[in-house]
Amino acid sequence: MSTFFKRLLGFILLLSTMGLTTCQSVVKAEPVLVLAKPADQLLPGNE
Amino acid sequence: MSKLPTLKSAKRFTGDTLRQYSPRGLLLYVLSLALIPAVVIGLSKGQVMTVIVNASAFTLYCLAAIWLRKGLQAENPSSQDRLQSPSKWPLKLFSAVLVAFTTGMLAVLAAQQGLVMAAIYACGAFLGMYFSYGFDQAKSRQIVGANGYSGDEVRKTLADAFAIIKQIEQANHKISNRELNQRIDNICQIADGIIAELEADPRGIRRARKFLNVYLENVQQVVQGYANTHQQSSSQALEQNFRQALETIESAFQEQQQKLLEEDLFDLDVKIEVLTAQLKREGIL
Repeated sequence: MSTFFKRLLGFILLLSTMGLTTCQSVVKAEPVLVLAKPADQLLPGNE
Repeated sequence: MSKLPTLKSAKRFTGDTLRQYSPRGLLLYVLSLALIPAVVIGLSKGQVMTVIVNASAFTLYCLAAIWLRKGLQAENPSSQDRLQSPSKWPLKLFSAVLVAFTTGMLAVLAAQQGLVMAAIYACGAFLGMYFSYGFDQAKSRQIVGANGYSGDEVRKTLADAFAIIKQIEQANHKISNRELNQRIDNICQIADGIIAELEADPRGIRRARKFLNVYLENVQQVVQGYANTHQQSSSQALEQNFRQALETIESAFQEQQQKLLEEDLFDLDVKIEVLTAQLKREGIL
């Protein structure tokens, strides 16, 4: 395997393991994806 | 036409300088940056566990990055560092283990993954470190002993000489005269060359020992002394004396280098003593 592909694979692995766990840590600390209101309340006429 | 300003603090941009700012290994710092907002969120919400886990992970990642960069530098040392005793520790391997451990710990404690998933993350991070940076290679080449001096003694003598050259270069930065700066730079380059030659072939170490131990130190004292005096007051006579001294030193250094190249057995000790006496007579030493 050439050095370039080896390094690229290493980069992808690091990004997908270390990067993912650090990002998950932020998401678990602040669950921003949870909606403040139920979805049906966001429809027009139901505010 | 306006004159260009003189760059008193300009430095030569050498490979050593470039190596110091190499971006290799910075990825670990970048990837761990996401942990800072996690710590801040934990602090704002009063979640002790979140703060402790994320702050610890950030610290461990930074430590791993420091080890990794030291390990990378040790593989391709600068001219001076290559003469230092090589590190006993496999820093890149330590860094990879630390990254794997921290990633696994973070996956369990912060990302709330199962143990198996955490182990997969840890293995992935370890492999990623291996593929990206590799592990520590064999130690740097040994300097062989010669003329009754062991390899370590030769290495130490040359490393001490390099340290003196660094001091001369630092003193040179305090002198604001381009011509003198250039002369001192030349002297340092010749001395660098002599040390590189001795490193490659230490057989001349016995003859060069006095040059390395005594003469180089005298030069450092001369340059340092002039740099200090020159900052307080400038005198034409002193500058002229210093210029002459530098010329003498430069030619002596070139001669020393030539003798080493020719493997001439003629001892330069007497000449060195004569030059030292001359410098003393001129009131520079």
